[in-house]
Amino acid sequence: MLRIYFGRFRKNKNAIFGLSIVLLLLMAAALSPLLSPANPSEQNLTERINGPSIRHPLGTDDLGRDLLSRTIYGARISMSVGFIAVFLMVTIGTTLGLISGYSGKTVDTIIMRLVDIVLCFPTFFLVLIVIAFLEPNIHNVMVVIGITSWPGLCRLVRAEVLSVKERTYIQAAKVSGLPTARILFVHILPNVIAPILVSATLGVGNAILVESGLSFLGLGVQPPTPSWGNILTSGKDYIHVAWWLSVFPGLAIFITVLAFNLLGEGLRDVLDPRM
Amino acid sequence: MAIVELKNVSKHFTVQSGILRTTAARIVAVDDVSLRIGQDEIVGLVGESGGGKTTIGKMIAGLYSPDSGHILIDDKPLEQWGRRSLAKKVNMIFQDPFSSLNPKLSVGTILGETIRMADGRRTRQQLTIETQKLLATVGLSENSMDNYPHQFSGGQRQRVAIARALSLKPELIIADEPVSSLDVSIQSQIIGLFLDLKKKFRLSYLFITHDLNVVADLCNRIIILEGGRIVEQGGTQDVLKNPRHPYTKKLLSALI
Repeated sequence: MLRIYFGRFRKNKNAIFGLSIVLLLLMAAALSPLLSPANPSEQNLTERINGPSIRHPLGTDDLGRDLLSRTIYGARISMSVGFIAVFLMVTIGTTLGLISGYSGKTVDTIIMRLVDIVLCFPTFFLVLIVIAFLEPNIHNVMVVIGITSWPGLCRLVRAEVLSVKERTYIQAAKVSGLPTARILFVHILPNVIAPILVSATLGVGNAILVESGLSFLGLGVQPPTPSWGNILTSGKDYIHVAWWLSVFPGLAIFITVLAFNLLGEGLRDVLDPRM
Repeated sequence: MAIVELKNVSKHFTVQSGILRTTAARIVAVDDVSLRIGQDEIVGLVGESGGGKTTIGKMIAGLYSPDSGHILIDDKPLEQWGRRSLAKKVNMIFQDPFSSLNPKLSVGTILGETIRMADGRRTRQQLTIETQKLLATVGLSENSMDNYPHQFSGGQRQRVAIARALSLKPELIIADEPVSSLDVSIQSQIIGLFLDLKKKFRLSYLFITHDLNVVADLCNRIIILEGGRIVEQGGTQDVLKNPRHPYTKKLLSALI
């Protein structure tokens, strides 16, 4: 099975492209102290708002900090927010989806109405409300994105479980007296893992986008910690004189989200050619 | 003492349609059925498809609950049995061996989990030994532990399903059309296996089938079911030689 999937994946150029960018970004995040040419928070007031040059390939910002280094360090924030938020989303969404689909009846109704409630607010709006009440910092951002983005996945998992639970091997597991938790996580989960994987990959891109948006509004990662969102904020005041301050972090967000979307859609094609 | 006793058991299913979930049709699957299965007995439950045979099997296995009537297992109502303790008493083998084994789990995992359930914790080595022994009992190679269901043929899969049922050391195995999806040559092998296992483990079977040929070779007693009702029952030879009910005669004539 795995070999078939791997063969199909290798032929999917978009997916390979997405995966390569994602791996590069992960490397940048892990090795940022080694890769960045300067200290991202070291100010140099004699070199404020310099355009791209050999010394500063992406230029410097209004405090004379090296933009390339700040962008590389920004990858750390984006990657950690993306992955941790998605980890939360997958944990909550999958567990509730499994329980909802498997138990049916009242439990199902309660969980599905909860999903409806969360879904009727636009995600970004919901995140904004929650952050407004909490202290805006990176940890809160991760948690809030995680706990507001699970409903879509929950519905998806539930729908899959509804079809899987009617299969004979699940009835056989019930007749064999296996505990419900084991049936859910050992027998059903591996059969619904494909859509979870796809949705998690797409979710990383989405979480990064939300984090950038929040940081841009000043409700996310707080300066001086560099995040692509807050680099954009500091750039917007100088957009007429220093295009590089807005263009490069914007480009970083664009490429990252694109990479995760390509990878996610590639995985979908590989795992489920029907869709 | 009877292992299983059904007293006036009925079950119907409703078909709902539309947004308001109005009942579009009410299908009576099992209608006022009473039967008992004793120790060491092989009972054949015969009837055409849609006749309620599988529903009776699934009710005894605890997958469905009856609408009315009582099911007693060892003289204790079915509702009072926990899923786990019931599994050690009654187990079920399903018709289609291609869908009754989880495609994502290896045979070792499938059997290992039920062996562990049957009597508690044990070391990994013990578990491997027991799994291999079980595989040998149903005539499979010991090396097949690490294989996945799709690597087996239909007959081999049905052997795995039988091994799974055996691993819980039940007293009664409900076999729902266990050979009807297999080749004729494989069918007789599997039926032979059922007979061997019965001797070895003193099992009782409820053998659900539409094929009177299978019943004649295997069962002590048969029950003929038509439209969810029992129309005739008795010793296999009696029923096959002197069928009284027209439906039984029809089934028999279809044989020739």
